Amino acid sequence: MFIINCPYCGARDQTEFSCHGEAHIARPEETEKLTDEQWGDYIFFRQNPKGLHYERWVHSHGCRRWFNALRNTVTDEIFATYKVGEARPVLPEQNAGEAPS
Amino acid sequence: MADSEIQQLADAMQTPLNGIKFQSTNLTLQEQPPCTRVNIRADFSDDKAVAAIKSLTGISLPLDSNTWVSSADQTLFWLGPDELMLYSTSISPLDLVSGLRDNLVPGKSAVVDVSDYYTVIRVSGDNARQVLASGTPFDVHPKVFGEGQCAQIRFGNASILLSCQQGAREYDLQVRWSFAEYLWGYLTKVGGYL
Ligand SMILES: [Zn+2]
Repeated sequence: MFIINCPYCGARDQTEFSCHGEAHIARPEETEKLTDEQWGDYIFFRQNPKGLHYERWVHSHGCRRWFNALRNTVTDEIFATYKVGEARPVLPEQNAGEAPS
Repeated sequence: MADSEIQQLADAMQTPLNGIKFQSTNLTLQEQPPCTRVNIRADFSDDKAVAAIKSLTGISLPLDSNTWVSSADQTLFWLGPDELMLYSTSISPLDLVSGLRDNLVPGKSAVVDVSDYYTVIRVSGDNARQVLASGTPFDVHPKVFGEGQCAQIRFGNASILLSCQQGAREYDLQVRWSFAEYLWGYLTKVGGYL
C-alpha cells in the first residue's frame, strides 16, 4: 500500500486512484491534415520508459479530478503530483538530456 | 416550503434502508431521514456565483478543500475546486434547483437534484472510529479530522463522502443508494464484533 498526494484533497490511499498513461500529450491542431501515420501516432503510441514518467492520474474515489504525476516506473516512487495545466516539475538531479519527453 | 410539504416529501421518498437503526457496544448506526440534496458545479472564482449560492442558502461557501459548513437547515460540503454538495431540510429539490439555475451562469454551471441518489448513515459512539478504521486507512483522528471536515474516500468497496459531525464520536457517511445495503452490511458486521 502506498499513499498518493492528490493536489486537491491531500494524502490518500492508492486504491482511490487510477492511472491513465502518459501525460502532456496535446491533441494536434488541424487533424484533417494529418496522415494516417501521424494520427495513429497521436492515438496509439506512447512512451514506455523504465524510470521517470509523467503520467495522468484521476482521483476516482475522491474528488474525481484529473492531475499529473511524475513517477519512477521501476521503484513506484512518486516525486510530484501537480494540477493539469501546471508546468512539469523537474527533479534537481535530472539532466536535461535524460528528461523524459 | 411548509413543514407539511417536507413531511410529504419525506414520506414519498422511501430510502433504501428505511431509516434502519443498529446498536452495539458504544456504537449506534442509523440511516438519516431524507432531505433535499443538490450537486452544484460552478466557477467559484466568480463572485456572482458565490453570492448567488450564499443568498439562497444563507451560508458562506466551504471553498477550502475537505470542509463543510452548515446552518440550521442547510449544509454545504466541498467536493472539489468547482463542486459543492448542498443538503437542505427546508427547501424542496425543485425550488432549490430552479433557484440555483436561475442565478448561475448557464453553460458554466450545473445544478443536479441528487436527493434520491444518495443516502446518509450516521456512525456514532465511542467505537465509531474503530468501525471506520475497519474499512479505510483514512485517518479520522480528531487532531486531523475534526468537526467541519469532510472527505470523499473509499470505504470497503464503496465511495463515500465522510464528514465529521462531532470530533472522534460522530460521523456521517453519504453513500449511493445502490451501495447502501452493502455499506450497511459492512458496518453492522463490524459493529457486531464489538
Ligand atoms: Zn482528490
